[in-house]
Amino acid sequence: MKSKLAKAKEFWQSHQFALFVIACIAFAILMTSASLWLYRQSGAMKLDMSRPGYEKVRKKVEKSQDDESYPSSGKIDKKAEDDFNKRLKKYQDDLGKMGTFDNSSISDETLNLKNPGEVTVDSGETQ
Amino acid sequence: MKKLASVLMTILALASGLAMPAVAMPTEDTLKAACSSAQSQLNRVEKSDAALRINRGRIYNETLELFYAMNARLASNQIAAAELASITADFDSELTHFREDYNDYDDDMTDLIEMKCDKKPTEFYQKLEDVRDQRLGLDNRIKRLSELMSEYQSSFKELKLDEK
Repeated sequence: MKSKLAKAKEFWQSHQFALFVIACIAFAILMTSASLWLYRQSGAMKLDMSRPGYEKVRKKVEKSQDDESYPSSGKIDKKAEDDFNKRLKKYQDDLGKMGTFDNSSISDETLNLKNPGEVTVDSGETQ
Repeated sequence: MKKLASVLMTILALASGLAMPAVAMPTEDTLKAACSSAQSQLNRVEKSDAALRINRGRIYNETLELFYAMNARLASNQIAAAELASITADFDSELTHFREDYNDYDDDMTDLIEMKCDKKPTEFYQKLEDVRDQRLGLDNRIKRLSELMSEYQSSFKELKLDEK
């Protein structure tokens, strides 16, 4: 009387190709799960504009305009200083033109969460 | 004199507290009626914030690379710039906190948008208040990053490299 283990071993030895296919599928599922986990954990998902629902804001994402990075070696002369100052000023100007994370876009007034009868005066105070 | 100053400060603090009107929390009925449209608006804000995060993050990364490149260049020219190195380290740290804070904010914003707000209006509003605090925190981070950029610029000018 053959044991269950011996029978199972005999079955899989005669179906090696099926076993190979099952193992490949299991490995692919494992790797895909690990990749998705990393994608979420690392925060890369939050910066992925290819996700559904982000079609309209994709155009707002700007690409880098720096052709070359600032050299980390070389002499410090007037040209190097001017190049550095010019790059830093450009970054500051670009940041100045961008929006901020202030709360005006999610205030009670903007979200229409004010109680009926409440009036907002010019100073922004609610009465 | 010190006692007088502390008494004056206490009176000023009390007076400003009395002068500010109490902010009325929306009633449950108001929240139930308006929360779905509020969630649509929040969804739009979340998408817009993602683009803002990417654009700002790109410039902050380029700025940090610029700082590191300049620090290395100064070092290779044997010019002491400990202040610049310190500011660069602060900038790097602040940028890391900004990224982490944004991830937390985005997670909470997603929870807020997906919440069944008509069934839990009070929880919805409380969560909204939390998200507002986080957004304020992010705003403070970007202000600090701008300050550090200015500090680096000032310290760099003080090196007076022309005279060396």
